[in-house]
Amino acid sequence: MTEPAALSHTRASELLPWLINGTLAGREREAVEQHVRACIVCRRELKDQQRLHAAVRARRTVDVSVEAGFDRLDRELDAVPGAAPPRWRIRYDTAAPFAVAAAAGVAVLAVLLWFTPLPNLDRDDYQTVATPPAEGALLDIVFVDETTAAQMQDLLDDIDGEIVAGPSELGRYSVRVAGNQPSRESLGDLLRSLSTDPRVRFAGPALADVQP
Amino acid sequence: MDQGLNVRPARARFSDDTADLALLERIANGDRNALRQLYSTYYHPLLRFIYRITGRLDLAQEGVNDVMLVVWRNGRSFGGRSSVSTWIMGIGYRKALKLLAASRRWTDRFAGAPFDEIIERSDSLAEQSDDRDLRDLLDAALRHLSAEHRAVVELTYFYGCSYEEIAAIAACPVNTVKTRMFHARAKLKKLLPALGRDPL
Repeated sequence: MTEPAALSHTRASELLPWLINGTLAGREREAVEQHVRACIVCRRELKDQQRLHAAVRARRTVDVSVEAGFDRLDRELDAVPGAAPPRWRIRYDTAAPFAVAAAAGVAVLAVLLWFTPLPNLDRDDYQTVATPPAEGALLDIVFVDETTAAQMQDLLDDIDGEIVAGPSELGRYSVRVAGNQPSRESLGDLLRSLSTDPRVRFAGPALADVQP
Repeated sequence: MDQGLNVRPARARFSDDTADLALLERIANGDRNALRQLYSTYYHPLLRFIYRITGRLDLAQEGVNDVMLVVWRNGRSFGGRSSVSTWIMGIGYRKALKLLAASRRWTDRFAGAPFDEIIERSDSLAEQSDDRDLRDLLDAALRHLSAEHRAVVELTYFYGCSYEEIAAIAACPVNTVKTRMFHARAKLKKLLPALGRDPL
């Protein structure tokens, strides 16, 4: 029997949770096991993750009656029996008169706004997207495809940042950089530094705040 | 299997795909009893999963019924590209994220203790902690992960899903699943140093 292909430390480490939950199979499982046997860091991580696995499985399960829940669903189905029409159609039918009125209102508003002069905006009266929020700055970062999870973590450690959302479908992460009220200059330096980092494809101030 | 690794496969399966398919076929023909059976099978797994993502029981209960309503209406369109459980959990995942986003417009239920406080509590409790203490700390720590990261941890460690199944449930590439899990692990380790100590 041939030996499984050697796995890099990063790849093996990424797969440890699925070695623990028993879903890795075949060559992939053999390759991870082979790496773990030889890697003390992964052996320690395996133990830590086994503890996390046990703790998650031991968390209390919500205990609520099935019957009460199904009765509510049953009543809802009785209200719309059989092959009910899709919800959008019901909503469209009832909302159509309001939609026409709303569209007319928007058209009138658009005409009024067209003839309204723009106010003089004082620079101090508005915030740019680069203005740091109260609790550290929020950045959007897209990593290059080849960047491994470990390299991403290294970069986050370097900038004292943490991922608060993402990745999006386009690979965008929202990263909060620690530190109260970083100055605009220091934020600019950080963004310049990130834009030249080979692990980063794009870095810029976040366009919208997110909940952690 | 190497004895030294002491890895014990532990998959949690709450349904049987063949039985689920048979129920789905009856549901597609308007059989309300089949819906009741499928509802009973999935009620607690879905309730827990949506509850773990949203942190609110009322939203979880609403989410379960929303999911089963989709199953009732769209059972006929199930394409069989995944198992029934993956399909249903995928609907549950999307419902949970939508419910969470809607609820956050009204309340900030996840504004928990600051990270430093959690780490401090974790440190001070490590010597005397029993499993319940640690589970409480784990609950608090998980609330500091994003909903997507919480879902990956829960699907991997509670539901025993493979990364391919999780990718199908979350409708994202497998590499995204691995990356989310990697970052969730790193953050939990930072928040819960007690998890890395002997004994648990």
